Amino acid sequence: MKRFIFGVLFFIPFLLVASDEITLKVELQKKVDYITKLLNDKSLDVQKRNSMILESIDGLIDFELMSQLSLDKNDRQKLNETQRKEFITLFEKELKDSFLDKLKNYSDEKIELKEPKKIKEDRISLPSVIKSKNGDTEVVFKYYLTKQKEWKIYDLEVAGVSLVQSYRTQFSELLTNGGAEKLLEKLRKK
Amino acid sequence: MRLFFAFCIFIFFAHADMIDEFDSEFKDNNKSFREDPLISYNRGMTDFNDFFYTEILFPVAKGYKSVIPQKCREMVSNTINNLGFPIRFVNNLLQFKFSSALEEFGRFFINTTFGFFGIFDHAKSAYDLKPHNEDFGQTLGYYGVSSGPHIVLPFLGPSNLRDLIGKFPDAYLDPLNYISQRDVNLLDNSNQAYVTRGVDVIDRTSVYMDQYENVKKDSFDFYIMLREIYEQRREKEIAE
Repeated sequence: MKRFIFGVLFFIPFLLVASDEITLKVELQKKVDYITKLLNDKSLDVQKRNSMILESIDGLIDFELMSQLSLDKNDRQKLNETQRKEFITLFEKELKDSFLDKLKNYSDEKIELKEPKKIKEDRISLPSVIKSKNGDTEVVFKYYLTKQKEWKIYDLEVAGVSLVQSYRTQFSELLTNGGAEKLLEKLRKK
Repeated sequence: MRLFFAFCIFIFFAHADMIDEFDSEFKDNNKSFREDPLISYNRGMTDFNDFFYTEILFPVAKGYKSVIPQKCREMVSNTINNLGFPIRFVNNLLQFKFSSALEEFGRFFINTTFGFFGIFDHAKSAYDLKPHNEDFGQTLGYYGVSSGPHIVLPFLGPSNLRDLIGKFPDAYLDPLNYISQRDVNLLDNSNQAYVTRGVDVIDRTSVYMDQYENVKKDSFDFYIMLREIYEQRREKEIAE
């Protein structure tokens, strides 16, 4: 009897601690709800609203890592240290601007988060569906576990297309045809 | 001081390791370029298509969108989509996706009857029956046929050798084509087929043109972006 009670008590903490996957889903839902609220608040000035949105996703999306990953191993060598730093800064800004630009066309779309999947110890994939009047689009949020034990997004798959992969291939082509300076020039112009 | 340098080196290598770990999740770009033997032609055709879309097709689609109300446009899309049933049904069967084929059949039956010849997607709204878009290109992919070189088709846009070949069997099954050799034809002659196809193209353009413009804005190399989107999407569709 004592052993049985001990056994049950031993397992209770495991039941009470939410799995990483569930925590991620809950947190992302909170962010989605917050951003939706901001988008629906017509009284907010657009600049203010945009900076509030960026602030809310700051810890969630690892823009710096996404910038680094948008160059493959060989391409990273083609940039020197200064160029690499400038590339990361410029591309981070480009990703954020692009994201805010998409929100401009917001018209009551709803995101439905689906069941997250733990792919590896340090990778979780969270699928979702964006429902709009033109149809549904699948978006998968790809998370990784940082050394500080935080989960952050490092890639998005929109309708099966990886954002990071698409940029990697484009930048590779640009670097092969024009070199590092040409690539940076294109980024500066955006 | 030495400890500081050691720390920096440690961070550098730890970080480098981490990036290397991510690298394995993405494709090696050197391979990608070798696999686009028609790149010069593809780039040229992409430019031609872009000119055609932005100067001719999009203005017409914009006119269509502003004149015809959303609900009517949905009815047009629904009717045309419903007629895609034979292609989807046969290709689901060829891939042994029996429950999907059954759901497609259910959708077709319900929408053609209760949905008034496909005008209303009653199957989705009342029974949540989902479409399963399969085509012969995906069927070939299912059986292991590789995509072959990327080919940009005039007017139709990105494709590849396998998917281009796949268009022919599907065209035979398509009720919106008039094929005199076929025993059964929904339409009476080729002219009707051209008109219906024209309406279909304009209707679909009205839905997708904003996305096209967005992709163009976001891209650094528009042709490469379109190619990546097409090929990645096809791989995902075949795997599903």
